[in-house]
Amino acid sequence: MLQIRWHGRGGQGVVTAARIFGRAAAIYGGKYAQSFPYFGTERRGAPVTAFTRLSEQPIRDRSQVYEPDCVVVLDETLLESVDVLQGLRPGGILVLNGSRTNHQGLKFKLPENTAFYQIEVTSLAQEILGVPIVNTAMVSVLAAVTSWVPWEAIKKAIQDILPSHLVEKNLRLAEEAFHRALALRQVASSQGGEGEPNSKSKGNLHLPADNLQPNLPTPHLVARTGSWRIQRPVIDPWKCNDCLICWLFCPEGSIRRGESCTSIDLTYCKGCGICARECPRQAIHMVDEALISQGEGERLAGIS
Amino acid sequence: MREYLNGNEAVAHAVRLARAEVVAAYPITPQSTIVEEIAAQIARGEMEAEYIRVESEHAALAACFGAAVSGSRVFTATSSQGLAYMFEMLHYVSGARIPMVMAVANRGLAAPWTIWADHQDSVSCRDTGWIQLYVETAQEALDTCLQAYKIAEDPRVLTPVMLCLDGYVLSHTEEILDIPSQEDVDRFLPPYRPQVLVDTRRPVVFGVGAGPDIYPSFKKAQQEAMERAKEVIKRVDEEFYAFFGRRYGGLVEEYRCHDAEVVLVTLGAITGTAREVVDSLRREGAKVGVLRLRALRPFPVEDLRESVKSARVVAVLDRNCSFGYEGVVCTEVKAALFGLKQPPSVIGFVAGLGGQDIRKENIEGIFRSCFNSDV
Amino acid sequence: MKIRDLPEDELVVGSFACAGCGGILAVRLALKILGPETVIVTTPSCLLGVTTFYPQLAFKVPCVNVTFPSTAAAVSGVVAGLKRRGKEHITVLGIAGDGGTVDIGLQALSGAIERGDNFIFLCYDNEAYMNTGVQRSGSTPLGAHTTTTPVGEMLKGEDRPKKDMLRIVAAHDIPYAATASIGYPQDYLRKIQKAKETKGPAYIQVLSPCPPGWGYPSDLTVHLARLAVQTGAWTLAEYEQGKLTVKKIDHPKPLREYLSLQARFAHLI
Ligand SMILES: Cc1ncc(C[n+]2csc(CCOP(=O)(O)OP(=O)(O)O)c2C)c(N)n1
Ligand code: SF4
Ligand code: SF4
Ligand code: SF4
Ligand SMILES: [Mg+2]
Repeated sequence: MLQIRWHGRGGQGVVTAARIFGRAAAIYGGKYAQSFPYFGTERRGAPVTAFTRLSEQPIRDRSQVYEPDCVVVLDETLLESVDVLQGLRPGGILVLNGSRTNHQGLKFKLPENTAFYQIEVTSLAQEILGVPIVNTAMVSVLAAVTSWVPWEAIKKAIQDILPSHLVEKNLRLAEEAFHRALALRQVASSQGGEGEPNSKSKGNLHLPADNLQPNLPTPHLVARTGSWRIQRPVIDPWKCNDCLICWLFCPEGSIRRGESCTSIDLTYCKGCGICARECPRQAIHMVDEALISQGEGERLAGIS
Repeated sequence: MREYLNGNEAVAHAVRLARAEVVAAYPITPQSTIVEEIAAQIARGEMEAEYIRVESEHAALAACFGAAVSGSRVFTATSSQGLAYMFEMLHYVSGARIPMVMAVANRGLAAPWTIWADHQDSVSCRDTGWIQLYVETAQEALDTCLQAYKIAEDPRVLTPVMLCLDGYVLSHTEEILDIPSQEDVDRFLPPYRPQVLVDTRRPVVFGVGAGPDIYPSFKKAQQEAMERAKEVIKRVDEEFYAFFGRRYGGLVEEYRCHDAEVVLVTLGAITGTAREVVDSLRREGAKVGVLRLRALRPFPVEDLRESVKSARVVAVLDRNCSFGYEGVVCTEVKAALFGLKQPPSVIGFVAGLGGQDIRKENIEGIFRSCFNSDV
Repeated sequence: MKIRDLPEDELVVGSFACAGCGGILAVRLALKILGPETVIVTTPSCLLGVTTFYPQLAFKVPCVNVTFPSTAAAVSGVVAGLKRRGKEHITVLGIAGDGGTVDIGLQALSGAIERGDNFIFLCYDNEAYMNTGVQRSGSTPLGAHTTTTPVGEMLKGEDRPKKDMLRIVAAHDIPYAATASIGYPQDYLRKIQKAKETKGPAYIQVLSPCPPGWGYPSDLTVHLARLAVQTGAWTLAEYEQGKLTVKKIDHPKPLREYLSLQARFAHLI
């Protein structure tokens, strides 16, 4: 049996990815398959996991997947908050969508003999679909690097599952991603970042252990939702006149007023962009997180 | 003080004596006279409490929940359809570990429509996480109501109690009883002082959501509390005895069981009639006894096993039916006796549904058929 | 009212709501006026799901969760309980989604208003059952696509008009009731202030756009809440001492401007 774990964020189509891959294997690939999501109560932007199992025999096990043979990550910003490698078998496969060449500071350590593939398909999706949704692309990438499911089967499953008006563009995206992935060379495992495995972290919940008293009501505890962000607001202090409109409208209460200088506390900011849209002086710009981590944020925001 | 009251009035007096501070209820026969009497006591100035005139039973329990988490001792009462309508809230209150007392004047469930007694309503709620105590007399209804607050609020229990009294047979039947003085009750039952409550200085959430990693811990805690409740129910009954000179056997009440060859297991008011039959059969030399289960939840496994030690046959009289199987108490008794070295045989009888009267002759017939059964 | 006069303290922090959730913004703004001496009573809805999941409590005020039909009934209980403890100065704030208000919670709300208890009921109206995946509610507007009023040959989205909850509430002779929009924060906060000062029940229904449920990018939440009023899709009204006042929009924008930004109306454009 082969077990795949998919990581992404709510709204990125992670669950559909697991299903497309499973359907391709089961209906067109001559295998048995199973796919299922793990639902939390978090919403769009929060980390989401889904699973696909493939086998030559009927699959009876319905428990979650703890020791995947393969992990597919749809969004590299997840690496900062989710232990995507948890349980990955030695000799397993990691497929990562992202452009960061530098994995320094990331809290992961690849298990022995991991085959690590990295590819950047977000900009491709943006170009072809007009939105950064990469599920069909990553399904195709997985098909290319593993050959677990025939390519024709993947295409048919995409056609079956997506709403008809999305099929054509997604097939184009899938085709392109598949061919780019065929040419993909494995990133040697030694290039994976060094660091502590963060298996003790509980997703993005800040969780002092002594509060876990099951029969008592819960005191104030919060989730650090800042890790959900894919874009971050950056204020241009030259344009801002501290009118506080952004403070008023921020759903997360992430804007700090200060005496004479409005600023943003990113701990809980989900990057919704309301502040940027409502600012009467266009003093706030939304900048991709992925670029920020490469130190380009300020330049991109036009601030020097 | 000696009085002549029916079961519902007795409960209303107990609620006053317990100094319940918030009462929320919706009318239904045969419960209604409990809350009417409470409303009258409040109107006369004999009882100081908020009476919330809710628009449904579901709301009654929700209002009690809200008042209890805000620090009040609360009370509600219902029957039959009303209890069924509360089902969602029953689990909610017990899961949130809110100690409260609800009287259920037992009545059958429609269809066909009935207003008369059986235990189908409360027995159907067996698995809602409430402690269920069934009483035999109006006096016991009053006394058990006072005990119930003490049991529910015990920090080791923190579980709501359903006080079940047979509709009409107890709820509307007057008898002589003793009403304890307020001073004595105050000494027996201290004021409600919850550890955690709605407090703007210390914000907490009641009724939290829980993921698969932690939900089982909450449920395990609930089960453990129920197990501990067994000891607490017995102890509170003994304490009550020390204060008021009356006790009811804790979890089960035996009547001439010690050497009985046939023991009849009962719930509620029918036990009195069964005692009569036991006495007359004993006069004929038949070794028979009655075992009344006072608690259906927590189920008194150990006490039951002890009480039927000498029995060859255990008969179970159920005023309810789990359709497709048998009377619920019968199944419970069989399960409790399973694994004993020489278990008695268990024979179930379903009777008295929808107020059908159970007469002495019927019970005598049960005993005789047990003697005749060559099991 | 100046923005700077609003308290800086945040009483809702770290919710799991989607980026740009209008509901969370509505609650955050209401608590700016109501302050820390408030108890929230709420029921299954996005709000409950994203704020109180063990061990999380995203409010810095006490929160009493109860079953879906029972917000207002539990409110009555909390009001009575606080009264017994001499804490009547604490504001009891019932919050429910539109489903928890106009559908399954209607009976309890009617009962509580009629009893005259002192509380505020805040309905954050996102015009569908969002928590369970965007099914229609009695508050879904005519024509909107939801997962139970899909668009196809036989059905073109919701086929019934939105329930007029304000008039239902007003028919109880409630001391104060209003509709509001998070796109008009000054107006909304003034109404919350009025509700706070009201003796007896007060009802506020605030339009709270939902990015995934309505199908629009998350930065448009406030913009849409404003457009809804400017195009006449949502009215700002107030019911006070038996009188209903509706804010007039002098030069309404074309409705198309509002509808065309949302996927739920895409089939109408
Ligand atoms: C008695 C009952 N029925 C159904 C549900 C499932 N349920 C939970 S939340 C919800 C929808 C909530 O919709 P709304 O009140 O509009 O709040 P929203 O999630 O849209 O903010 C439903 C149907 C439930 N919890 N209880
Ligand atoms: S809205 Fe714009 S100008 Fe006003 S405080 Fe915010 S960033 Fe500054
Ligand atoms: S992007 Fe959204 S969450 Fe972040 S500061 Fe701006 S308004 Fe607040
Ligand atoms: S689905 Fe809508 S209402 Fe629910 S959290 Fe997301 S934005 Fe808010
Ligand atoms: Mg809704």
